[in-house]
Amino acid sequence: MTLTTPVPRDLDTVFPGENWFFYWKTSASLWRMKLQEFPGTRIIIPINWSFHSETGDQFDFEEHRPETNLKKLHEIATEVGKQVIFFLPLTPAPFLPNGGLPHLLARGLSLNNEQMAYGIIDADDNLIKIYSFFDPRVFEAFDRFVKKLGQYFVANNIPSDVWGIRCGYFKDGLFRSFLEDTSKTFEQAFSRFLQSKKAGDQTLSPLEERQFAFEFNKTVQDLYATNARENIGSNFEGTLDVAFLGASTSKFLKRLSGTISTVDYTSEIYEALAKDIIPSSVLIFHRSKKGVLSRELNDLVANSYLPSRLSLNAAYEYEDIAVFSPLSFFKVYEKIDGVSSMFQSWDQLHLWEYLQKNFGWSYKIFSSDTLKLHENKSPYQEHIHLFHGHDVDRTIFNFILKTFMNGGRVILNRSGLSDEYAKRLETFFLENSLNVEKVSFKTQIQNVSLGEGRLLLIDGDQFGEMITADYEEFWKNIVETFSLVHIPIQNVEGIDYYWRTRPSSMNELKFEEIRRLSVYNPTSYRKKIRMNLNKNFVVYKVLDEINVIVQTYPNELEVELAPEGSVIIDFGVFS
Amino acid sequence: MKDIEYIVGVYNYINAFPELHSDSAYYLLYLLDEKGILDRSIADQLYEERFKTDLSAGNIHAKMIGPFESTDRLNQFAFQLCEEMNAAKVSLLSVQEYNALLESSQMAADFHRDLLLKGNVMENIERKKKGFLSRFF
Repeated sequence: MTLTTPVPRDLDTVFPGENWFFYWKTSASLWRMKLQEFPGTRIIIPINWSFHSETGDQFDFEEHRPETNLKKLHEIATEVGKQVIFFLPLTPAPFLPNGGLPHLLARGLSLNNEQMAYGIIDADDNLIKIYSFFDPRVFEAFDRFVKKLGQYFVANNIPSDVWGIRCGYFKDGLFRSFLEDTSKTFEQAFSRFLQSKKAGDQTLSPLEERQFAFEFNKTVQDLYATNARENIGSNFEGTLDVAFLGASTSKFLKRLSGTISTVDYTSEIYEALAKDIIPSSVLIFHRSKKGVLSRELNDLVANSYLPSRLSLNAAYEYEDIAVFSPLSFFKVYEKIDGVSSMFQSWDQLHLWEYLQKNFGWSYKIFSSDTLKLHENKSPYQEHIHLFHGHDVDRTIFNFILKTFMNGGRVILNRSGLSDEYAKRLETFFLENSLNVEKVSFKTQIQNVSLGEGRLLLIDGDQFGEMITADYEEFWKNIVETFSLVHIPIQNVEGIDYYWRTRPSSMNELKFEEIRRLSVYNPTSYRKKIRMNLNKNFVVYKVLDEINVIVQTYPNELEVELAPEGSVIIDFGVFS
Repeated sequence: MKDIEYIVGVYNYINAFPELHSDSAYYLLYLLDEKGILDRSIADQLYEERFKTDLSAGNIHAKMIGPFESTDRLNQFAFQLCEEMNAAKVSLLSVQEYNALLESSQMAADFHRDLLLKGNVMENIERKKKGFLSRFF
């Protein structure tokens, strides 16, 4: 036993999580040794702008300090068998002092939408503050930096991919970018933007102003991204959203008092995975990442989601039979823009509670201002698509009809559906002589079938006074009509679990699909979960048992997890 | 139940529903104690029972506690919450004060300490009077 404060191992500081390598935190002469020691094959190197430029005007790429020599870093990494991927922050970065801004440019504190300055605690207990990216001088300096960086990569033949990253955090279930700002610096830039948008002395309503503020934020975000793409050239692979665990103001205040728990972090991991956002634990204290949190991060992020997200071809390569991809039954679409909070949300319909209780995190959420539509479907992962009427535009309307006619399944909440699209739907039903079944259950429901295709219309505005249990009953009855092949888990409260899937390989032909269930107990209590195995499932493999007892009975599986226990169970699935 | 040593509240003067042309008022954004973010149920109940006014109609925001028409009312609320929870003291800061403290702090621990010391601090004298033995008798 030691009575001294534990000092973080140097390796923890330079490798703060998920294979990220903080090259500026160690001597260049130690890079080889540290990279050799590191077990992973791929390293992520975030580029630290302020480390290469203190003023924003002059740059150091090996001229003065050997630690700025990215070419040498790349060479060493390659020599020791590591693949290098660079991350270039396109927003304030919460793991860097001043959010990554060269110190001469860190002038005006950036404020979040509550007008509170962003405060972040990094893994070494430093207080990080974020400065506004809406200062024109910051943008000009960023432009100079990425130009120089692009030239440096070309001149030194560095072939590695560079991904632009939008750094953010979760607040009330929404991903918020650290670029968002309500400070005076933002207000000044925004008023110039408004002047260019307004006709003469036009007065804007608060709603219009909010829409313009959203548009302005997006425009500036796009400017930084476009600038990076154009200057970095062929190395630039695209942009990614990265959610930093424990970086919201409420988590910051919790961390200040030292009372943040593993559960506070793990809920954000699953939220990020459901939204196709990269979770990052680089801000979390090294001592907090022992045990079950570390296993969740390794199993679900570092060795699973992250490699597939960074693969060259697509986020999920269904053809690759060795790779487990997240299992999802639902694709839930909800537009997030300046005015979306005015309309009915899935949260108000208690959908998330129902899905989390019954399907864990086996769903995908698409919540941007444009709603990227996903038409890819794998033979073993067919989704139920859920849309709000107020989000329906021509593209979404066409997608709904196309999905339905191709045998897909769609639930459309009619709330906010415009008269135009309501009429077009009626016309579509009439023209195709489709039988519309009408049912009244908690609200008005219309069901239309065409072969395998199902289109279910629910009237979200007609729900009466209902409590959560009523909504749960509603969703249960609706979802049961889709006959999903899934194993519900009993007594799962407090347990973290995540389903993944892959197609069966040549020597697993008796199965159609392999599903992997990862179960973790972050609580300090013993937990026992049960699963009734229906005729479609058999236990195939039990892996990585830590502080756990797995017992199989005919048609039942029982898993007893001690505190910090975890296990991975593979199931063979057949029809 | 272990007594709370301190409560820190961060408030702002805002128009919570500008699109509804509502009035600006004071709202508490965050309440914390030494164990982290304070469980809001007691604060919500206190507001509902003793601080709801005409201004509250249509201006209650799910994420914040308020509205309060003046800093005096806000201070009264904070002090009564302090008594209700038997906390030793309460420190109230506006977001501007919070931001200024954050800007001048270098270490997280210093900022945490300043939140308690540099706000508008009100002590719960009754608790002091009761002293240590009052916990047992």
